[in-house]
Amino acid sequence: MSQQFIRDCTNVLLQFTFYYPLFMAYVWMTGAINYYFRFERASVSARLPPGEPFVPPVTVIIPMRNEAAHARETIAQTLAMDYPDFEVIAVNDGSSDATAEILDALALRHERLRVVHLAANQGKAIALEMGALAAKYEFLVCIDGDAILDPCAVRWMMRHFAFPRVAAVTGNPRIRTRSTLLGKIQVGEFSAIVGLIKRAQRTYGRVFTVSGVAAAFRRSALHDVGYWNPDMLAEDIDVTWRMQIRHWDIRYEPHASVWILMPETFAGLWKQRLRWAMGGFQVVLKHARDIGRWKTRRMWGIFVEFLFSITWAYSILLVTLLWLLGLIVPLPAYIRVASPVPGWAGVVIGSTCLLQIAVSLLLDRHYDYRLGRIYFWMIWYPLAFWILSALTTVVAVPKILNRKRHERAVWVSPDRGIHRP
Amino acid sequence: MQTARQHVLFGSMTVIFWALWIYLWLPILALIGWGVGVRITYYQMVLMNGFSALLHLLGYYLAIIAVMGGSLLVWAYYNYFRFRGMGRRSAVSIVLRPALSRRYQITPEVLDGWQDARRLTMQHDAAGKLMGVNLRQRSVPETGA
Repeated sequence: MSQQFIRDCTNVLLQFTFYYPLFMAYVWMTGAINYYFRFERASVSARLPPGEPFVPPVTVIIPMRNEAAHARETIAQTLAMDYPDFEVIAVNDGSSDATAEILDALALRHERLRVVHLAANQGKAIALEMGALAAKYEFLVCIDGDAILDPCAVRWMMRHFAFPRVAAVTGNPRIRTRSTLLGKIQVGEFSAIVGLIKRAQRTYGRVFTVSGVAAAFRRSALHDVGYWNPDMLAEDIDVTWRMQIRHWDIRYEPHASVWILMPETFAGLWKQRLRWAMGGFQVVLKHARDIGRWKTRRMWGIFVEFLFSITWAYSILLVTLLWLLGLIVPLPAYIRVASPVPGWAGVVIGSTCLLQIAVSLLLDRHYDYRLGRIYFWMIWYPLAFWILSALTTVVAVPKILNRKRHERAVWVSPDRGIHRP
Repeated sequence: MQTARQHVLFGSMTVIFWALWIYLWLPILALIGWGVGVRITYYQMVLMNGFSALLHLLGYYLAIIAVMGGSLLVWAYYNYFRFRGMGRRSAVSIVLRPALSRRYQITPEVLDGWQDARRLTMQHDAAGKLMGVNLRQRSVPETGA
């Protein structure tokens, strides 16, 4: 292998590592701004959806495992939502704390609340399916055990189901845990990544995933794709892909705010993001053959972008390793990485990152509070979260490749942030 | 929830990161500095052709952004104008009791009971298959807590 060839490969690696996030940032911004002006701007300050209300009866399903600390609040807020006809099914997934007792006591007091107990921990996928089985109604709103729905969130979600091919509507997760640096950064991250990218993906016409913390489903669509798969680490990504492969439509509703708790420790954040990375790769691997057909060509954009993101994770790791190695030992010129941030391009990518965050916070400012203050902390985002994303991807890929087929994904207790004692 | 010490520490580190970020903008800052002295700017940027590298690079960037962003928008509006007002695929009928009953191998009457009960306990086997359901009907009042 000639030195010139290796030098060219090193240059390509550097260029890709640098330019992929740069140009994708502008694609996301373009798509998100287009979405905002086409679908959002006219109703951005409205409390209720415009036009004729579409408010069929819904079942809210709340799978819970060891949520004794949050069950009362979540149930209370859900029962208080502004919606004419609904029931709430709390699914206790084999909890080892007082969740079961709390839910039973709440069900005695609230007529709309029903409780499903799973005798042993079955995982979120089966918990959701059992909730769907017990549900009276066609439309299901599935939220996490710590999620607080905005009072009108379900009204905003339901309006999309007036279109018969809409299978699911993903809500707008907002972070409640913002007392620490990690919490603050995640507030900005959810706007800059989740909100911006969902809008851009809707402009494209396909989404990578509904938000597992809050999404509404049409039961017929779930039945069509066989409900949630208990083998998948990210059942939300999997069901999203299966629906879109079957040509169902998935929508995003920025008004459907859902307030959630996110990890505020590094260990908790790592576990969560590793699970997301593993889940995403597992889904893409599983559906790669389906995606290859002409009939599913509209998924190619999502699929290819995901592959690029995995490649980028490995490339940034390699570039960083080469750079660090070059500081310690003398490397030949054709593989030496002089600086991870080349010249004028550093100005551009730095500005681009901050521009992306600013655009996303502007778009989301109607659905959250004090987002401007969050901007100061977002300087951490490229260093902390790009590296976190790259590392979790690099670790996730071999873990999934080595994972046993049909190994069930059971629930692990998540880090719900730091709270006052 | 952070202590005052943590708040000061993280705030200070954040300021340092902003300083590092601004360091990336040094070429622009130098340009602005030179701009104060017009003769220096003219000499460096025009006579010595300093602008060419920057414009060359920015030109490439803008072209790539225009192509990528523009492609997304062209695709979006192509689909909008092509399928506007058309329901290409038929609606799927609401899942009926028989379909749900067949899936879980129960009778529709049993399904009705499950969907009416206030409290259910479900047992699954090791593979996650539903094996049994105990339920408490709406009509049966709760006794005790």
